[in-house]
Amino acid sequence: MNRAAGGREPPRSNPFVLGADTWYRFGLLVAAVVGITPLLTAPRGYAIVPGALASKNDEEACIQRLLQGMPDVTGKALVDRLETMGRYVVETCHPHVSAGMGLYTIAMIAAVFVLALAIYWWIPRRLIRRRRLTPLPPPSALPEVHRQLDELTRITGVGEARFLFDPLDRRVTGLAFGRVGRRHIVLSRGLVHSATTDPARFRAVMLHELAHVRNGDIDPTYLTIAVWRSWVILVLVPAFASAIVSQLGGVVWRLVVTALLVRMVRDATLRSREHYADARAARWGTPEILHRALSGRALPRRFARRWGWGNHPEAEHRRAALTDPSRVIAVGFGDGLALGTTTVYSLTSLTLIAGWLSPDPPGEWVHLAPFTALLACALTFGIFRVVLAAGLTGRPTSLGPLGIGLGTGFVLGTFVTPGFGVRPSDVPLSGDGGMPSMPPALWLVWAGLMVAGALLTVQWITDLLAAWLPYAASRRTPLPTVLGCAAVTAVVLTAWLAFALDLPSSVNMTARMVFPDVPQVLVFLGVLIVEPAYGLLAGLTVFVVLLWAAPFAATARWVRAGPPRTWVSLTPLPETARLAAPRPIPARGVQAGLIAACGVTFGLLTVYLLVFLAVPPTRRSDELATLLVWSGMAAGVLAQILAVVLAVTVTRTLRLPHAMLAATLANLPAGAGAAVAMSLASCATGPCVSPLAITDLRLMTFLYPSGLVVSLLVAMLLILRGPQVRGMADLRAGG
Amino acid sequence: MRRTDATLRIPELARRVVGAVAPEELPLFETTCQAYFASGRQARAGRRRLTELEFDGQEIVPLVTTAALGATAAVFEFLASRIYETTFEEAGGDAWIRRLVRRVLRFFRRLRRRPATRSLTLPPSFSREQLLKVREVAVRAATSLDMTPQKAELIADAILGQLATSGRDNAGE
Repeated sequence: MNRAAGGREPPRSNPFVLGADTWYRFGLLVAAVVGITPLLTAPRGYAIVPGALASKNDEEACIQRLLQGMPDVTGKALVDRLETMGRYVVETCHPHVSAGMGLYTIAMIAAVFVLALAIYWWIPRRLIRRRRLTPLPPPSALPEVHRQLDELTRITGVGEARFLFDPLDRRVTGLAFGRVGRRHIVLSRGLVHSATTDPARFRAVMLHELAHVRNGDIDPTYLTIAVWRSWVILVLVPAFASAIVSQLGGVVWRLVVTALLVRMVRDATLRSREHYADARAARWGTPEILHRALSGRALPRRFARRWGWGNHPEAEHRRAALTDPSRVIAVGFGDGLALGTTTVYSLTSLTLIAGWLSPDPPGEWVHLAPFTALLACALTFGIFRVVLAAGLTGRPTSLGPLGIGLGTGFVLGTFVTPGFGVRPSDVPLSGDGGMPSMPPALWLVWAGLMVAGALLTVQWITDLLAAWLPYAASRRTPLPTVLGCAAVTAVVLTAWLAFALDLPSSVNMTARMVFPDVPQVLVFLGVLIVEPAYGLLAGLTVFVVLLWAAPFAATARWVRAGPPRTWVSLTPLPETARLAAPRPIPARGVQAGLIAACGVTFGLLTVYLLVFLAVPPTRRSDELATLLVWSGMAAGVLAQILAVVLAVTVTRTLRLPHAMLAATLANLPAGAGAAVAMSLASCATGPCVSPLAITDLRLMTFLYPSGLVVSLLVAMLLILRGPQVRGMADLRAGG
Repeated sequence: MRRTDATLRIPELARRVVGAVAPEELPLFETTCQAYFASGRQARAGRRRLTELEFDGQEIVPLVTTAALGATAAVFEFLASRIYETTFEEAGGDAWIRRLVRRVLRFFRRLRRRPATRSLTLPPSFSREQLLKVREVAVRAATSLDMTPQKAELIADAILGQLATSGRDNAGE
């Protein structure tokens, strides 16, 4: 082990902070299975449940009629168009409701888990019978083995495992398995032989297997295998058979993608447990003996394993993780992809089931909330470990692939789920049945926005956790702090995902039904910027305030960070060590916001003054008044954009929170400027009205969120386009 | 088949071979032997398919017990086939019938369970050619079970020694 100058070991991040990862990954697999099963079993359900297919066909036919007989709104005013289409759509079709389908789907999900439990219960017995495992021969036959096992169980504190013997397996290997209350560890014949010929190797393998028991990963591992097998038997194979029989080519590739996704989550669970067992074993013994044990003949490099897939990690990856524990906790593209896709699948399924069970299901954000809560927990827990490791080692975090994977997962899920065609309302979204879908270029733009949004979200979570790191590290456990951050993250995720995931459908519907005579690009931009102003004002305000308030709260007086606790590092830290974090300096955001607002307001008032001086009172007209009102409103948006640009330019860390704080502040004086503009406009057409008397809240509430959305987009572009800031480089455990 | 003390039993012969070549493996011989005869061919070869959950140990430890069991079983099969063939030749018959009968017999021999309890009456003596052939079979089987050539020859010689002793005992009776 390398030692720092002065003979002290360098800090090594503790991968067991917040527990081993295996249970979380298993939770992700469960979420994926729950999310995907309704989509894959619904076609069979329609064939089984009486009346379900007829009800679905009725709604589909109704939607087709509705699309073909849409009233012509060309040339009408905006309000008329909205009223006409709203009345037309709502009054024409009854939603497709089928309690039988809902119950059938829930029963299928339950069946998958019941079979999984049965398989989990059955696996140990089958393993013992199939491999002819016997109890380990008594100490009289294997004195050295028993002596070493006694010592190892004393060191590790694992006393509940029963040792079995595989007399024919000549490999130097072991296996931990079992079910609740009955843990078994198998010693191969080769391993028993090595107890006398190579005791270090025997010790390394046994420590690894005992670590599985200690980490508590045996249950999630075998449950993972059981859930996968059960899902394949009950859901995947019948769905493939049905798709092949029905010659549904479009469904087959979606099934392949779905199966690969679930398999990927399964493999990640199984790989992760090996790394954690190695890390635990290294804590009990010296990592060198494990390193040597893994240096033997490597597993054949299969294609999947070469690309970081497969159910068993490469020996070289395991050796590298032993040297650098931060590799154990790394989260990358695959994790993000699985999380993103699972979220969309699950959202679709829950919406589907809610629609079957109730004619008036709750809104999309209600369906989203449970999954964004899970997603937020998965992201914050994973990123916290990475941030902690970065804080200890001083290395920069590299979470870009996680963000890209997450965004790609959202996009992939959106493309794959409607193709199963299990709900009638998929028709407008998927572009089938008479309504063309969005042009590919707009889909690409939307996909880019989703990836950028996910990237920015991951970066923001990293900033948030980094701001709270010193406080969390000084607590007995970081769990409450991380859960608090997860709660804030869940709100932020719910706010933007509820809007963004629905955007293609909204744009398509709006373009085809409300604005058939407007270019779709403009409709896209309009919906992107204006829709939050109509539907999400409160949500958007909370969202934007949380973006800056959550990290900046870490600087509040009542947040007092002490010295880091011992759980932070595997190696002891110096007594004087402090975990530094990028200091959130709200002053910079405030300055940027005020400077921008004042600058724009001053410039606008100057222009107004010049206009009033240049235009004689006799020539002032309604057109001039309208121009003044709109320029005043636009100035508010301009002030927010300018504030964002300033904030992003002058800050190096926490740039998104700074930008959002600046944008929020810039809007307040800009609102005052707009009131002055309207006051001046009233002077242009008649008697002057005081700015204080002008309270056109409708216009304000329209422009405020629109300005925030534009500010957010500008901030996103600036932050993602700008040079990568080594955000975590400043974090270091100083002595 | 008549059973006498001169019949060949695989476990007994293998135990003697292990006792002669690697006596330190004798404490685990019984356990290994029982598992050996209860398992399939792939498991007998000591190369289990790696499950997704095992330690990454792919190195094979060469063990005399499994090699001796494998070599003895191979010799047993060889001798059994030669004995059946000889019996059939003595009774006359065409070559193609011989081949067919040999295959059918081999098939049924494989189907028979519990090879550990099977026994084979040994001929009173072995010719030099027969012994060389038996030795070759034993060496090949032991080598396939990861024994070094020297160890494989040692095992083969031990088997031959035991066969020769049994043959003499049988002739004496």
